[in-house]
Amino acid sequence: MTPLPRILLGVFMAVAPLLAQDTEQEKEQAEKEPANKGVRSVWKKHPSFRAGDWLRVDFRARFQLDWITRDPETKPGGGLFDFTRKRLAIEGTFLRWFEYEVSRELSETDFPWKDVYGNFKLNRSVQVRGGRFRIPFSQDQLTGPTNLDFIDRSRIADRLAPNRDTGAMAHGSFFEGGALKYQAGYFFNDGDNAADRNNNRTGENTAALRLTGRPLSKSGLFGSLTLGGAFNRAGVPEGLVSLRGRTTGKETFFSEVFVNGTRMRTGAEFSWTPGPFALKAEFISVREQRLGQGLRQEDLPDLLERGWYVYGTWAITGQNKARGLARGRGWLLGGKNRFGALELAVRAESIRFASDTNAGRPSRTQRAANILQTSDRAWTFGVNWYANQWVKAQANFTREYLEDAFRAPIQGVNLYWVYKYRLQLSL
Amino acid sequence: MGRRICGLAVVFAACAFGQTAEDFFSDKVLHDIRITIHPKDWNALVENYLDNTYYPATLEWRDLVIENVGIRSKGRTSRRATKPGLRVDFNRYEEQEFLGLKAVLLDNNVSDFGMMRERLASILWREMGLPAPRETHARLFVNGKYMGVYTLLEDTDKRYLRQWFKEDSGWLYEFVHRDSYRFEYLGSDPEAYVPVLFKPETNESHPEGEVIAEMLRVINQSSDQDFPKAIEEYLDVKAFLTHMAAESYVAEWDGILSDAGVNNLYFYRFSGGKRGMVLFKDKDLSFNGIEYEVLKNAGNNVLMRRLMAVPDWKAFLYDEIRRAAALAGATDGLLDQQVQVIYGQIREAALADELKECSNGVCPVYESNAEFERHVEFLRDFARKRADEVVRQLGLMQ
Repeated sequence: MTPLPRILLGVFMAVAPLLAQDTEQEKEQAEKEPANKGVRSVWKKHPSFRAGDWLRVDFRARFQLDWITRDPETKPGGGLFDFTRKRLAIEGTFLRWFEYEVSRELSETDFPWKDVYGNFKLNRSVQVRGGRFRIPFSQDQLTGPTNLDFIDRSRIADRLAPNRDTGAMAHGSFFEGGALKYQAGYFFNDGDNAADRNNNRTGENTAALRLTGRPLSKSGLFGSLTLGGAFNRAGVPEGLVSLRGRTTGKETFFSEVFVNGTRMRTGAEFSWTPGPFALKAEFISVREQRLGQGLRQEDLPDLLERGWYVYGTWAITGQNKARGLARGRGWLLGGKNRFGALELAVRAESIRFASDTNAGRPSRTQRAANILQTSDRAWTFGVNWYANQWVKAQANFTREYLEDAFRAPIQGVNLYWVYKYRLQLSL
Repeated sequence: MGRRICGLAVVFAACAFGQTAEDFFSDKVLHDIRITIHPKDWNALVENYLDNTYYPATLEWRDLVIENVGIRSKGRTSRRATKPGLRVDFNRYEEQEFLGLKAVLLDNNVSDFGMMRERLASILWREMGLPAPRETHARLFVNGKYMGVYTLLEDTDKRYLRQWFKEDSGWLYEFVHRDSYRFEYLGSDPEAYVPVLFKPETNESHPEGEVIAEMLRVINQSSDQDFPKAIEEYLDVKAFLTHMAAESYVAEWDGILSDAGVNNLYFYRFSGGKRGMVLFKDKDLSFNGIEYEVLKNAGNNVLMRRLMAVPDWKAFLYDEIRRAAALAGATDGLLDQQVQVIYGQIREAALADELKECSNGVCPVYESNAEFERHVEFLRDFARKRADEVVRQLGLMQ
């Protein structure tokens, strides 16, 4: 660990409890205060600079320290401490119509700039965003890392969803409480997740559409039930640049194959957060064309990448999941959130790589007409502890079964366990 | 369809047409090997011929087709973009074999202008009772284009070990050439030898470099009195001396006694002990001159110098060289006959090979044809005169 993060970590641990103040009291106090039109600085969840109601600059920071072990060990050196994220950001509003965010990841060299965008908000139904941000696809991928219920995203969100790219998007919501939302955009490439091993973008001219709705928004119990669907289409140049499969332990179990043509993603998602519970599910299918990629330059059947996950969480300390479990400033200093929130989580998931048809002898070559199917089927068991609004600790135990042991990280071994522990500090 | 069905069957090393690996390496005929590969993959292989990147391909031989094989460029000094040497791994992507083989090699013969030195050498090795890969010649076609005459040879792998030693669980190393290295002791650290000088080809996860280190310590540091017994613990000395006799006979200048240090050998350490044996590798630069000095550089090589200091072994070595001369023969002897046979098999194909090289590199085909004929004539001359020359030199040495 480098000195700076170590110092920040220590300062955070020391200061967080001392900042204890009952959140409800704070709210009441804020409501009594008249609106401040002048220049001022505010520190609630994070430091903020405000000038009247025309400028707001929030300073955000996030640190995630991970401890990872694997069984069997696939990387030399055994257990690994890793500062997964050291991210700094500013975000805010300008002149009521404009929103912005600039964030940079200090621990990453591949794609250090994360969200860098501006958003024009005519009203809640008509907004336009431009810059670099997440392509609207997959609820799991669109959930920020601070708010993930598991340390790692699902395999399908991690490998099949596109992640960030540069482009423009129209978006907004309709009906009471934003019961129907839309996002439609165009992006130059196909997202960070679709980059090859040299971090070169593999897709181009991506069109994306996502719709989500809460059909029972007026129902008490089912009000949070959300259904959604998404589609995107990108051009893929000829080359060994298909999407590839990686395990939770970051090991490749399905290498790239030759593709050429288009890459089309379709997705369906489900989310429901009644009381202390959450139930989420998602299905993603990706189809990549392989025009002229046979040994005799014949067209090959599309490469199909498909998968799903279902997960549930339960805040056993009883807090309402939809309102967020990362609340309150105190810890062991009194108040109803004195012990924070403790949550159990379990996720089942599968991701599969194969060709569109299974005619002919299946093979593992990058130009096989019938690609020998392989899949990663995983169970993750997790415990999350939200100490307060800044500090979160997670433990995940993941069991992964790889269908094709020939392509497994250790050839001949199908079954892998990954144990991950995370301490997260976020402003 | 019949071809395809057979192709699928060979995956399990059994084909309806009854072909065997013996047929595949038969030296009675000139074979045709056809490789189908995506043109962009072939271009990538050619452009990156110094890399060991594998590309998927289909291989056809006679009526047999095996799909989903991996091919890559091979060779050291003989690597070429114009006429790549190829390694074909049948089990690169699948758990499959072709006629019981996991891989075959296609030597491009670019350093061997007569195109038959490697094969002639392997014949002599086997005649002397030493292991040597089966070798024959083939015309290679890639995507229908004629790539020229190649030497088709079997891989030195576990199957090869089983064939010669009835076991395969020992430690096979491929020697990695380092300039001026001649079996010196580099200290007790196994990593000084493995994998930098002795690259493990089997038991890669536990290469036991400490045994190699200990062998080299014995070679360099054991007393004259202890040496004969101590080295026998690590090396089949008589097999090694026979190997050196064969290398000397064929005027191998790129082998264990090369000017630049040790080169071109495999070392196999048998299971259940420390003892090992030197094995044949790459003899396409042998037959370097009828008057090439017998045992040239032997005095510079630690192991050879010490072995030859033991009177019995020196006598054995000389006897083995004489035996090599007797087996190779003179006019109408074994090598002379083989030159004639191989020449008859490959002449037409070699003359049509526009990618073969001259001694000064790529040249017009009329020049390379003339050079081919000259070199065959030289090999014929070598086959007829080398035996007398070797015996003459031995006489002078004694």
